[in-house]
Amino acid sequence: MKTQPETGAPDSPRRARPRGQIAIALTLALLGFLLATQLRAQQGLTQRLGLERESDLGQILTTLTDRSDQLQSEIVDLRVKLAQASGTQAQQHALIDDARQQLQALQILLGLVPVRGPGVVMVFADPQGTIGPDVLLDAVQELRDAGAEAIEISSVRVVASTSFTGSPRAILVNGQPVRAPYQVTAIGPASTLAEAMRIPGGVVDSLAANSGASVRITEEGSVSILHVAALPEFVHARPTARR
Amino acid sequence: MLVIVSLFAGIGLGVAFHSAVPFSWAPYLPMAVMAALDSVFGGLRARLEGTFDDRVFVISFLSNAVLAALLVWAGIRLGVQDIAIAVVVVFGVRIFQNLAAIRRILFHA
Repeated sequence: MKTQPETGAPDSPRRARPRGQIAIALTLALLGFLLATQLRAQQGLTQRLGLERESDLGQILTTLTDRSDQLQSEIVDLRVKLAQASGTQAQQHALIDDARQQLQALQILLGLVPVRGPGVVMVFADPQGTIGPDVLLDAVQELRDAGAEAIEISSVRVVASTSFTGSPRAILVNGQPVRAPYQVTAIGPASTLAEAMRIPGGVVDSLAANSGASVRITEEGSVSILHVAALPEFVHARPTARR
Repeated sequence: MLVIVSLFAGIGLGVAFHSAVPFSWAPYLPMAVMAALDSVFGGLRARLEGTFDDRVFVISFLSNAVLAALLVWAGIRLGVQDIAIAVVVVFGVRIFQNLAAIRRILFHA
């Protein structure tokens, strides 16, 4: 042991600084605290399993196995969901395709888009003014009956809501005046349409029998109907659930 | 005397407080304890050799503990969890050396 440089009282502890002593004491207290804490933690960990009784250990094992099974089934569930989501995507594509086809059909039906296809072109010459709106309406109905998909009368598109009013020489198709000779264009099965028009007792037949009006029918491989109708606005009719 | 008393007071506090170690501290506390033990034995040796300085003791105690914990933390972050082994080896060797020096001084052997 080294002797102290300042040899005051021989029994005084070396470097008897009160503050230093307190600091050392606090530090060692901290050490004790840390030691105790760590030992307790370690003991708890090793004892927890060691002290369990056999039945408790079995229970712990069962719990862990159950948890594992649970997670396994969760994996399966999630896989199924994933597969479903992928399947749903394919279904959605099919739905979109369906909707697109439906939209196209409705657009043609409502006369919202220009159309082209095989059909017939009929010209009603009416030098004596005997053709009234009823004749045109009859012609349209016969064309529809024969399978016409789109009809136009002298640059007015004929759709579900089209009206035929007025009187001979002043016929209004959907409110728009049309003049003779009336040109009716229809898209559909061309030969069937033409035959339906020429059927005995039909519009054309009766026209030819009665008056000086004459009708010329030509089958075309491809005719265009370029005029479109306005999108109807429904004020009163509202869609409702079936039944 | 005060030193011994405070050591046991600390142990008593640790036991009394039932202080459960937070789970996230689990890797660090043992390292801090190792470092603290190293500092204490170093301090004991210095005291026996007459070179003890309380400031050095206190500062080395705290900084060793904190540095050891930091090193382990860095090791875990870097993916070398085994760095704890390095810390244990280093402090273990130093504790042994300190104990050997104390033994030589006490028993002159």
